[in-house]
Amino acid sequence: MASGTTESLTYEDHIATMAHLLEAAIEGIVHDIVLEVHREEKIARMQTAVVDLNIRAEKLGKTISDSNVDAEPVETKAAVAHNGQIALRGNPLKQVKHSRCPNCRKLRLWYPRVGFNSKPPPDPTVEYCKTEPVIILDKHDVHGQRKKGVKMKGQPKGKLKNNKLRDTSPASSIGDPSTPQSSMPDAFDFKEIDYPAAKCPNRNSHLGDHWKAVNLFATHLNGSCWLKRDRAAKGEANAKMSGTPKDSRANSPKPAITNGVKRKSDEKDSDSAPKKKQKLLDIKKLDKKPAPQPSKLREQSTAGDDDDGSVKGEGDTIQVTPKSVPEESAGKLKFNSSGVARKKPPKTGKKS
Amino acid sequence: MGRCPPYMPSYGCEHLNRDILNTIKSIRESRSNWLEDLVHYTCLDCEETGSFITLNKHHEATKHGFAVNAKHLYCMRCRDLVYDPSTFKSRKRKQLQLSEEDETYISTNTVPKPCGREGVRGLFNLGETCYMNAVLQMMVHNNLLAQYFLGMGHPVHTCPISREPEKKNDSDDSEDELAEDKEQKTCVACAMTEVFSDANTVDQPVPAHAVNLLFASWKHIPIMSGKGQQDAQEWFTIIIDKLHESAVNPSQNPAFKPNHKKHCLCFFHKVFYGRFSSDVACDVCHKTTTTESEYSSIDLDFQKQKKRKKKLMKEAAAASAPPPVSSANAANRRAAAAAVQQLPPPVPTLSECLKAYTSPEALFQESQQIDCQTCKRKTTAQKCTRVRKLPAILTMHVKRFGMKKPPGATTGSNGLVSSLIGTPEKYEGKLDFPLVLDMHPYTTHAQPNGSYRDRQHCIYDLECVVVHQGDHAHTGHYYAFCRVAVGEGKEMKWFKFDDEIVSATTTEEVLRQEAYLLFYGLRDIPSVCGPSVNGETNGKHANGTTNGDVKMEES
Repeated sequence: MASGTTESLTYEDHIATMAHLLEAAIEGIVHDIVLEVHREEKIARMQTAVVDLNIRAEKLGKTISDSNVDAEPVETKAAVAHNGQIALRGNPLKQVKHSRCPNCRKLRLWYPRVGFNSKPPPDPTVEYCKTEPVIILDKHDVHGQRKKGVKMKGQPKGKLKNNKLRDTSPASSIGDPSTPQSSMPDAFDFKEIDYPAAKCPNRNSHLGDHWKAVNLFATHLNGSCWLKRDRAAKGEANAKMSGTPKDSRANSPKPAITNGVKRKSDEKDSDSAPKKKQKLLDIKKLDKKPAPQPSKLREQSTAGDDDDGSVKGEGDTIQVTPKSVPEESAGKLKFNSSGVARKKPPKTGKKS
Repeated sequence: MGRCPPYMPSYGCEHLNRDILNTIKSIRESRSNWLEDLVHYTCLDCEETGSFITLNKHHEATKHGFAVNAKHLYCMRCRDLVYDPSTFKSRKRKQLQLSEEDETYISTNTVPKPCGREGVRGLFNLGETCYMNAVLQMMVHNNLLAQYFLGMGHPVHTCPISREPEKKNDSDDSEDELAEDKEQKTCVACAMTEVFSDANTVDQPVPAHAVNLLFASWKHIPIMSGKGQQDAQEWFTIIIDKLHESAVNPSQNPAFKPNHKKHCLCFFHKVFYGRFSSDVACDVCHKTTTTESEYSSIDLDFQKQKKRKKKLMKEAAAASAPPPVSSANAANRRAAAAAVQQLPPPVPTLSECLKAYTSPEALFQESQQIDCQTCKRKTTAQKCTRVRKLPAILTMHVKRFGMKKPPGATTGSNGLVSSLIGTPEKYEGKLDFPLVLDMHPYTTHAQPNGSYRDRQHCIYDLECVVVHQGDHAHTGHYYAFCRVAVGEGKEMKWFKFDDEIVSATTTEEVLRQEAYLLFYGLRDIPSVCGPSVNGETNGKHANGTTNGDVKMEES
């Protein structure tokens, strides 16, 4: 303010001016914030009105851009198309009660399905536009996924966390804990982000393409694939490779074959070699006895399959008995395969 | 996007028509003194001005239809604000320049973009590659870079570096040789283009990965290859240099050979690199020598500012404390010391750091003195560094990592100064950074009479914040906060990009971070005004006289 005016202004005037300016400034700020939302929503509704009009026109077999004056106007509650011009009817915020995506024409969700500020979708059967509001949930990303290995406290699938969130909201704080649980969208599945495989760009070092899980990529490139291509590194890598899957192999149903493969690498360390050979022999001896085991397993599993499909358990027992007879008699492989082949047609026949 | 958004009515409301729109346009053009901050709308037909309630009453009395202010239009019959499609066009003008002519060609050869949450695709950590992911998210979410890479700014299909066809050669003896030969064929820019197109895919919510870029980066940057944690700033600096190399391929453009006399004109130089101009004035003869240096990021010594501020605060506290009475001054002193201890840790601001960076500095120590060519001897001098050229993406590097000198290192008893040996150290602490940054005061043409237009070209918006988490300099985790345009209105919202996990966050949360790297984007990119480098002189020039030809070359 200029110095000349200060003479005529009293202290109260200053206070009043400042209060007025402050008020105006705050009003302006609020106005802008509110308008931002208003604008976005109103434009969405305007678009929805026109999308609805288009859908209606297509149903009637007309085109909206038809500029023929004589053509009958296409109209909905919120918009009219006539003479190639699309006019709104009334305020779209009042006339249109939903919003559609102008890209895929599907309905838009206004609230995220889970997490902060979430509401269950109004109609679970409807397919909504994929551009959903972002999910705000601790330890989860905007899609409601979480990092692999990250677990929610207690229950899996993050249900506990959701209940907590619900509890903080004023509505659920009054009611008993069962209500938010029942209102929980159980259908939402909290996916874990799985590491996909990616093709190794270093295709020169080996023949053919390499596919590795992405989270191990630096290790892969760092290792024998690219940076450490020397013999020592390869040896290390091989040692690691042969070392890790031991446990998984021990549990596999065919121990004889796996041991046979392992023998190659066992040539290096002489300590373990005799032991393994003994084992191998033992297993080979045993091998003939438990041979029918896998076939039994197969039968059991197929029986289980049948149970899922139909309730008739008697039919199964009838089927199984003739198969076990040729297996015992002779020529395992042949009969096995023929048994499987025979088994299938009656099954399908039953189901259909 | 495109011109007018699809599915729009002809007018914003049923009461609007072409004539009214023309009237509004002419009124807006004729009146320049709009009260921008105030919520006031003026009736189109008379001079009545007021808020919505006033206008509604005015409508009942006069049946006037519309009221306007600088930005908005109020329909008194609808009793609502109206957004006419004609007002959107100017806002999106920049994006449609190319797609105008062969529209039919595009529509027949492309598929519509699927719907999905846009701009929020995470990046997998490939094994200690968070340094790369954080910087990549910044790049991916920058409009300018996205337009370059997605608009085939780098010719992926005809790239001379990676064009070499795959040779299937199985013979063992020539394999090694071939591998060596092929190693040079990985192009950083091609891999970067792939990351950009991957990051902009929305059909699936799974994160993307930058495997090819990692490989290319390892190949091109031997010192940073191999699995291990790296410095994000270092990687950023080197990778943009590599991108520059890919853009300035000597086989393509012989004119753009790296030359010290001429400044590079490639896209990446315009986007990432600025230039400092440092004037060194001899204290004896007052002759000024100007040297220019290129920068890709401005280093902010926030520790120095922190110390300075702490000192100031201590002084202020001491001044405000009651003067010590001679008899009981010991107790008072203790109280004052306690008061100083209780002070909150000082928080330096970005502008303070920049101010310190660009303020004159006296070179008076023995080691700092310059060889003045006029005086023919070593003299003391004044050094002043200022920004001569600003890039489109301005990078601020908060110096959080340093070497801690072991105690007593400088006074080595055995004569060996062991100051070089230290342990890496991380400096914790906050640095206040603004959402909007005006770089004008720190530029070479920061004259008080600087034009408004010049000032407008120095306004930057915060786009990305990279944070280093962890107590140590050699280990830790990087994550980035980026501004993403979401929804139909392209509203800017902040998201946290922590490798695979992308989560929504607030502006306040972003400003609360202990930033390591700050990326500011230029708000208004000036239109192309010819090769502006021609007017520039290299080497010596007096500061004030060349004011006219200093140009921001971001176009």
